[in-house]
Amino acid sequence: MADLGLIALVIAFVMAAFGIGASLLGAWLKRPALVMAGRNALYVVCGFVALASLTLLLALMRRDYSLAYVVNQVSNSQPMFYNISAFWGGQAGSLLFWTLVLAGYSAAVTAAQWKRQPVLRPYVTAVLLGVLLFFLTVMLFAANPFNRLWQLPSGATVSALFAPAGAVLALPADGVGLNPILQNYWMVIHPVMLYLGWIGMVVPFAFAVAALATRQLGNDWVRTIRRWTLVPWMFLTIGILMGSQWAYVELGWGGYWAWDPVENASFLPWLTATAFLHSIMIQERRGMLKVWNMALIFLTFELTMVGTFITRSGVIESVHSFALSNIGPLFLSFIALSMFGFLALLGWRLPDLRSSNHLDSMVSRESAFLFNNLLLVLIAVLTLFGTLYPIISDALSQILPIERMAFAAPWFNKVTGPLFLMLIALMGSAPLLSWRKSSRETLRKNFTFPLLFGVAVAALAFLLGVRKPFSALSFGVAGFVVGGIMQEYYRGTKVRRTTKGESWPAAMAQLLRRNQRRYGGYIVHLGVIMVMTAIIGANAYQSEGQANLTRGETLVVENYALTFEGLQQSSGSTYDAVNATMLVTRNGRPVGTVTPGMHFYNTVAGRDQPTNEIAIRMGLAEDLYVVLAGWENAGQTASFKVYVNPLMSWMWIGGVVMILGTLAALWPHQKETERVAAAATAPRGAQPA
Amino acid sequence: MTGTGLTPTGAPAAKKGGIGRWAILGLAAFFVLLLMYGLLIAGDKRVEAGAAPDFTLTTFDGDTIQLSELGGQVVVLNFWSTWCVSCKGEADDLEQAWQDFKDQGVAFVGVDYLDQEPLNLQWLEQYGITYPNGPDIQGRIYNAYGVQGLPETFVIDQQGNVAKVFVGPTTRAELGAEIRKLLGDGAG
Amino acid sequence: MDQLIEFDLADRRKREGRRRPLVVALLICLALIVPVAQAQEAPTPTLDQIQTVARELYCPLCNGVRLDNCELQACVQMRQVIAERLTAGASKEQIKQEFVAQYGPIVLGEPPREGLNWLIWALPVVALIAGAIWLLWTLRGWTKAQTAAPAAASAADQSASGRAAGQAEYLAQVDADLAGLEELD
Repeated sequence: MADLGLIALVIAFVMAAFGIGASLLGAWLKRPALVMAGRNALYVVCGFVALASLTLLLALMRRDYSLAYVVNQVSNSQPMFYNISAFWGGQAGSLLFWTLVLAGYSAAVTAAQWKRQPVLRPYVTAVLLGVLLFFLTVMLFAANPFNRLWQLPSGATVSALFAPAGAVLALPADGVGLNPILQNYWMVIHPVMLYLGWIGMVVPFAFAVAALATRQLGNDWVRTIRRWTLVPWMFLTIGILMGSQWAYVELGWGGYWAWDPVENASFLPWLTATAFLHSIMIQERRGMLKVWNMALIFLTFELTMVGTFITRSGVIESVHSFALSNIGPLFLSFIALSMFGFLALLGWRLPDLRSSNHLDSMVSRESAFLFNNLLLVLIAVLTLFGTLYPIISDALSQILPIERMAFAAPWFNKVTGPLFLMLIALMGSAPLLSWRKSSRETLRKNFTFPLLFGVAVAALAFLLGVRKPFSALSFGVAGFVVGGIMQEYYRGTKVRRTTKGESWPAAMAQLLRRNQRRYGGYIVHLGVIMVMTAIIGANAYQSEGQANLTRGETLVVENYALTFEGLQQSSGSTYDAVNATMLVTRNGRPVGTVTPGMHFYNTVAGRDQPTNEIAIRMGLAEDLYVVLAGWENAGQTASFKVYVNPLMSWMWIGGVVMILGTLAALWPHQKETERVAAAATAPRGAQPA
Repeated sequence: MTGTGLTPTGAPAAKKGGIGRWAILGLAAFFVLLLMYGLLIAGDKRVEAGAAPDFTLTTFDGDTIQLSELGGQVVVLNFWSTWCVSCKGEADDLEQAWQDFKDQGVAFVGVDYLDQEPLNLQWLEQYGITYPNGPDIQGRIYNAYGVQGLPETFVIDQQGNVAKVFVGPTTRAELGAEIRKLLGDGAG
Repeated sequence: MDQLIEFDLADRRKREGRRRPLVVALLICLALIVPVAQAQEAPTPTLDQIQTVARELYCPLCNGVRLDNCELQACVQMRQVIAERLTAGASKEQIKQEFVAQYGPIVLGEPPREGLNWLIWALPVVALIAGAIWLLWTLRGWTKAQTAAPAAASAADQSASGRAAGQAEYLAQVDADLAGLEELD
């Protein structure tokens, strides 16, 4: 049964290599039949990757311990849900999952764009197959999910595809099981979202390469990939926020983001992709920045690869590096190859990418977007620098009086915090600036209300007790952005109301529907502000308290008082649980109980690693976050850590808003004909204030 | 890579294109080299054979031990810490092995990795450790030997080469056998 | 550090466990339930006081894990040291300095502001200023390259803003933006 998966991988490998050859040869010799063969090869590869994935999934579900991967990821007592998520829980499986997602994207983009992109298509196919081929290579030659477990004559067990000399197949009666800290709902779906985000960035990269190869460097491909970038961007956003949520509810330190290498790896491509989604608007409108947009697509793609490399090769230690192996050299070779290959192609086509750049004014939306790009890329560069600093400092320590060290949250927060604040301020300003040029009059008209609103919010925050200058300033900037968005909505709605006689809700809905990208984008910005509010609240105003409590004793943190009532023991299917009961009062009023606890998993991997089962009372104003840290005297005394995180919930609400905004911007248009008619009547050159 | 992408777009940048291109390529090459270096140092770098890295250790008693000055002796170098659970298991064995060989030209050195002052002294007292021990400030010796976890015990022969590494807790018998082998070799 | 080593079921785990001390350390960080601090004498600092110091320090064994939250035995001991030093009357800054002396700057989670490490702190500022100047310079070049064309555009802009109150004008903008953007979609 498992052999089927291996055979499927081998066939996919061969077909991918064939497909690349057929596509490129077909494009070169102008033979449509070969190009078609390339496309069909891609579909075949996708089919066999799906088959291999299905085989592994079934093996995991059937607890087929003849596979080394299954032994390491599954145990007899592990619930089926986690057996399924074990597919992407370990090294080899996650590589197969990567490949499967990439196959899915490849098939989807090929099916959707084949007819529309007659010139680009062989190259797009070749690039997609190239990346697929790379992942198949890694699986077949370095981290095969279908490896078996062999017992050597010496008694040791090894994982290998074929039997080593004298070895017999080892068939353990039980498996190791998934790492218990991964046994969390968020952890199960968050990698899926991250992968959907990361891998989706291969599609714009493939189009960029194809556009360069074919010199079809007009606006056509740019329009196509906007959506194909927005979709992975949305998944990346979801994935990052879910990862934060996981860290928040599982790791027990009251925080959500530690600037850990794995977190940074997901964040880096998000930054460059965000920059790209903005700068591409300038190219769409003005035909400028062609090279820069190429560079951003390239950076986004390489950063996903570098991120995978960093987290999977073990070059940087991380809280999240659960699976490490020897795939590093292969990844590095691929990164180097794709980097220099793309740069060579870009250099070769540079003359075709020249565009006459001109700006009407320094004070325009174009320049705001460019400064936004500068900040996003700068944050990405600094984050990458900080992430790689252990290597950099190790290298430097050979020649300079510098010690090898790693940066933690303090450095990242101090360095990127001010840049993020500038970025948010720009995010608020750009929509208030006109394309091409903003006159003094326009500036006054557009900026007055948002600025006043921002000042009002800052003042309100100050009155409510926000005394740290940076926090008050941040609230002011947030107010400015929100004021700007409100003004835009209000004006648009009011105009529709008076000119079209629509009711307020109808006018608002029509506004969004008639210009999804613009108003969808504003919704995303609003979500960003909510996330930012949560970050300020939780970072600058977190309160904490810890104490050893004997039964009946009370711990007071801020406006909360928690009374320890006692410990209870219970059993789940795979673990024993110990929970403390605490009565909670807020501002003196009882608000219920919380039951923080610990789970002791009885799998091999989990027996020594109890997981924190943190009790969180979420609220719009603040979260109460209670960790049971330990106990003694047969549970008569226990120690607790309690955090009060102001505004924390807004991070998740903001995340949902960002996703809704993205969906609004992405949603297919309903009034196609009406829109085209409107476009025909409004001359494009007209740029009223 | 901030500054490099935009330039070539502009017509005025055409002349500088050459430098810009090389700068980008240089940056990319540098980046790849850096990752390659990371990969190299990430690998297993425990010193399992060859010359044992020299080190200087200031013991808890204030003496200075330098490996190169222990020349001609078999040296047993044990890495431990009070927070290491399995170090407890081998502490007695190590002391007994020291008692077995201390008069036969064998030196024992305990390296206390990332540890705290009062606790480690209590530990030495508790287990009655009599061979010299000292703190490894900031893990310099630990890193030099590429130790991967605690405890690890390096046996260094009379020529100053690593003869054997015990990964994880060792025993009096295991250690004794290795030392005897080296002493035998040295004599013969 | 032996917990993981016992997982010999698959060789993989053993190898990994040994090869990745920090990961091992971390797993144990998460693993050991630390018995509540041993019965302490009356004048010892409260847990809150200890954590206030520990909060600003980072575990030198596990990357990026804050000392107040690390359950590694080594970290527990470090917190005990903090408690002892607080009892002895040391200030937070003194204790932090002692930790840096003992374990290196890694415990601060950021490079010390001295010597060559200043370069690391200067890097973001220099990069931002250099980037901004360069971008401004580039944009200025682009604006100058365009001297003839903008007359019309700015005239349109002026006239539009002159009638700023006109709502029809705004609708036209919305529609124009819509036309410009949506047709690209």
